[in-house]
Amino acid sequence: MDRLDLKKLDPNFKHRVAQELGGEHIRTCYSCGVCSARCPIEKIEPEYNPRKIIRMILLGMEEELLKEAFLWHCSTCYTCQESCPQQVNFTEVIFALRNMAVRKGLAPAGMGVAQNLLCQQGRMYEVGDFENEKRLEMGLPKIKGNPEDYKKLLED
Amino acid sequence: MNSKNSKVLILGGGIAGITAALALSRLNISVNLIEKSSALGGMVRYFCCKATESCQQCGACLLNDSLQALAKEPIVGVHLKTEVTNIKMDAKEFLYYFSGPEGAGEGRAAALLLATGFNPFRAEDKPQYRYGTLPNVLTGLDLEKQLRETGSIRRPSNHILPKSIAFIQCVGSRDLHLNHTFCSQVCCGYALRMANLIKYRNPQTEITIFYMDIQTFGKDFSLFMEQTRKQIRFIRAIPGEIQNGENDQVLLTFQNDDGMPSQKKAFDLAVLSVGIMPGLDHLFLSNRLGLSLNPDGFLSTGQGRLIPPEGIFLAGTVQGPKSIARSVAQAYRATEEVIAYLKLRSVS
Amino acid sequence: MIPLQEFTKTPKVLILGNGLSAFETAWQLISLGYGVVLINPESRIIEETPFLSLGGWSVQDYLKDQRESLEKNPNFIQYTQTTLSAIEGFAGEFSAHLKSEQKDWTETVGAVVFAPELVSETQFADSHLKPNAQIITLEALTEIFSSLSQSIPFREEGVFVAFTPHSYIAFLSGLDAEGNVADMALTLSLALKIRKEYQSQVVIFCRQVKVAEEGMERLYQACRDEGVIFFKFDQAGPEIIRSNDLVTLQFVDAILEQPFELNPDLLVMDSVHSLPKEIRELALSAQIGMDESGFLQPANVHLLPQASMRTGIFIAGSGKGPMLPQTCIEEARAAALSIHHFFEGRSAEEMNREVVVDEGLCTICLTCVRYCPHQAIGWTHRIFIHPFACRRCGICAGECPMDAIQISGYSDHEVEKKLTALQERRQQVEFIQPRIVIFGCQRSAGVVWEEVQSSKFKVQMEVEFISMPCAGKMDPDYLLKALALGVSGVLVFACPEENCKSIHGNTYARERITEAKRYIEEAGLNPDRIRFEHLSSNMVWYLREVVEQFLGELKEKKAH
Repeated sequence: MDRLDLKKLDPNFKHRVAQELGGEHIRTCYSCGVCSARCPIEKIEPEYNPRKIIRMILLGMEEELLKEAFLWHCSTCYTCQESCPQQVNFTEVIFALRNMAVRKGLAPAGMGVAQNLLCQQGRMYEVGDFENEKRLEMGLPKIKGNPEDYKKLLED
Repeated sequence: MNSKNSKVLILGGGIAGITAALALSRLNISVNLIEKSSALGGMVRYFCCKATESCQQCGACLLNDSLQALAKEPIVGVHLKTEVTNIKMDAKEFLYYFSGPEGAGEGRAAALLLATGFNPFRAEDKPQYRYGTLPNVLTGLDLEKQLRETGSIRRPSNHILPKSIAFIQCVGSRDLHLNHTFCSQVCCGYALRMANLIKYRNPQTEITIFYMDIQTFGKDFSLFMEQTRKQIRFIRAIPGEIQNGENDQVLLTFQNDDGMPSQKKAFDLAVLSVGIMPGLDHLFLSNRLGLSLNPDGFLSTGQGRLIPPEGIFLAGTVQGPKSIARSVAQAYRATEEVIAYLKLRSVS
Repeated sequence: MIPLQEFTKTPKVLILGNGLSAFETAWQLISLGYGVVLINPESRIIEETPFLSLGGWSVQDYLKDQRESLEKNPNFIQYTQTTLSAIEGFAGEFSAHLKSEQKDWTETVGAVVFAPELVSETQFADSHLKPNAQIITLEALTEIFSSLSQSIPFREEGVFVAFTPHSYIAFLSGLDAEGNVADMALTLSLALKIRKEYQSQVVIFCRQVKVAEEGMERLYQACRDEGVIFFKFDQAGPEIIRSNDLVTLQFVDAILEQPFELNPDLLVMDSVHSLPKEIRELALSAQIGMDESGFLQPANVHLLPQASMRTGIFIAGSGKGPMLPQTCIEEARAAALSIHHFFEGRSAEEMNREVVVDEGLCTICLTCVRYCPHQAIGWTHRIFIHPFACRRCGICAGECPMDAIQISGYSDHEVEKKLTALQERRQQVEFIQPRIVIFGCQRSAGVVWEEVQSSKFKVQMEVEFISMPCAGKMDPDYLLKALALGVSGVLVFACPEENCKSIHGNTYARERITEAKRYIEEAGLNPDRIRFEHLSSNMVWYLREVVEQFLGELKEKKAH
């Protein structure tokens, strides 16, 4: 690995994360490793390591971090958040990071597709006539998407 | 009605209380020592000797020295199985009500020394370590007791010697989530000393310490660490949880410190180094005596302990986590302050 | 040496030091009514740093009032730029030889307190560095900030150039040797202050974050909240590279496994703390004992809290190792009590035992003088054992080649009587079992034996316990006498190494037993009939195990 100059990294990145909703406690981490030990995703994808992600934030590695696809692999199981002795609230830190990434245009392609689906159909999966017929057969009401509501929500 | 009057009332018959009682008695100051359990010694009476080829300076044996000396002291009134039910200031004296094996009564004292000790962290409050659910998960206190009684550690599941032991440090301490933002000061000491002892008695045991920061304890600490590092493995990460493995082994998942993904490893036994938490009498004493609690929840006399409030003195872990050595030193310090206080009183 | 007259205790105490520990001890002793002579090796008084952020606790006002009161008190004398060159005599009446520029003189004092401050040395040589505008020691930085808060004009303006929001301040803490909580408290307090007041970036390189004191974990958390970055290392630390005026730190972050480098705008280096040379030399010559790291008070729990090896000489404060101000105050008050005990306290029963030297047997070989761990024996035309300094361990009695020293309760005669009584009891009843005698130190084996008696350990008929004040009193004659009386085996229990109340009693006992076993073997007897073990007072299981094993072995041998 190339040697990084600490001064070239952004020491304010951690403070900006702390100003995001959910990222307030990012600085209290003392790298105990419990989050990574309990994370189910880390077991199948070792590159996704909560402790390392937090460390990257604290050291100011903004660019390297926000472009990573693994930011989107967190399953939001909340185990890390429940286990953290310093209440870092890491799941919410992931949400904060995702928001920061999107603002930089660094969201994975799938997010765009998901957003379009929501705007067009009001749902992530298309519910068509076939599905609604089946529902009526079972005595369930029809489903209609609400794309207008989602458009409003996603305006930002 | 039983009445007990003395110059000094000491609440708590652990090492700090006993040391202070002896220190006062040697100066011919009358003491009543009230202890609610059926024996003197507090927590230290459960602690083992940790000498390997030489003493590891844990201080546990100092209790027996003090008990030996106390037995010969004529002016210390020791009252076991006795509890103070109420206490207040009355005409510049402490008036207290107690209930004991001979019934209830009251007493007076000019000065009050609180040495009511601590409460060990309940390992059940960290459910991910499955203490109480899995047989081969013990606390540091369990280890002390077993070593003191039998000299060796056996796996609770099958009573054979463990071939591998994992110590998890800081259980319950340094934990913002539990509102315990303090270091318990004794866990690194007791864990490493007991690890050395187990290794000394059974050299083929593999011992691993999971830690965040190793605290300094005792004298010649650098030399101690040099020796300890040769035979015990240190991993700078705290395991996330403990699961059941084959043959009642414990499976610990942890971030290894080599940059690799987290590991799940089996051990024959896991030991949780539980910390020192505020005692059970704190609120009662705080209420009756108008004492504050410090930010960690321990009793405090305020003013950074420079000048204690009128007639009330603290000694030992009632005031905060500390080792046996420091509890003894603090008992001496409190005694000195009591004497200065009594002197001032007799003049005014 | 002192002539034989009434042994007295001069109610005056000599304190060696010039910081918080020394002054607090002085203050407490004055309040208790003693005279105090404070020997300050320098001309200044070492102040405590005012800004240690540990729970809003400040020593300053307290110390100011205390110093003022002390200076006004007629029982307090301070000699500055004075050193203590030797301490002769015994507790109660020490002759302290003092030396200043103007004169040499002797003070007679009842007790002495070593309460020195440590000297600090930064290991610049190791890293080919020297202090300049970019490199400073922790002590120097502390002084700069302290003088700021006292509005004293500071000299090192250069340092403040480094304190901008864009600059990096790097602290190296506890990397060369195991760190300590006092230095960590200073480092964290400074780091927090710099972050809050100057918004500079602060990076701390350490091995362990020392938080084992009240308020330290919260201070550590406050630093992290303010954005202080910590790099922790298991061994070594960052590599320091110097080229011209540029300092570069190269290191690997253990968590990311990523190599980094940093050119700090200010590099703060910590130091190694040690006793001042004169104090170390005095401690050695006065034989008060030191630990293996070069600090005062040997690593023996029986000296806790404030005793030294020599009765009447006490240790308080940083001389034992770097410590926080509140600990220094605790030390000082505990020391004041220990001294008060020495002067006014009722002695324990053990300390009142009579110790007699039989002039008819004593050849003034001075063996006892050399072996006494407490420097309690002196001589003029005869040996005398000082009643205040002697701790009745019996090492002298055990070593004396002429058996000229006797301690009441443990005299040779009394021990022999017990052994003979044993013999007589045995002859009255038919015994098939082997008989053993245990000699045990009363504070360890003695305690265990009492506990064992109250349980159902059924060996009363087979085992006799003879208590010793210390295993060091063990005389090989006792072993031989026991064997001569037909005892099958002898067990000797001593406290664990470095846990002897008389410092070396256990070691001397072991050496004597080993020698005795050799004689016995030469005499044609089985040396395994004698066994030496270490035992602590809370090891009941071990005594049982050893006794059962020993009895078993002896039975086997008897069967053959």
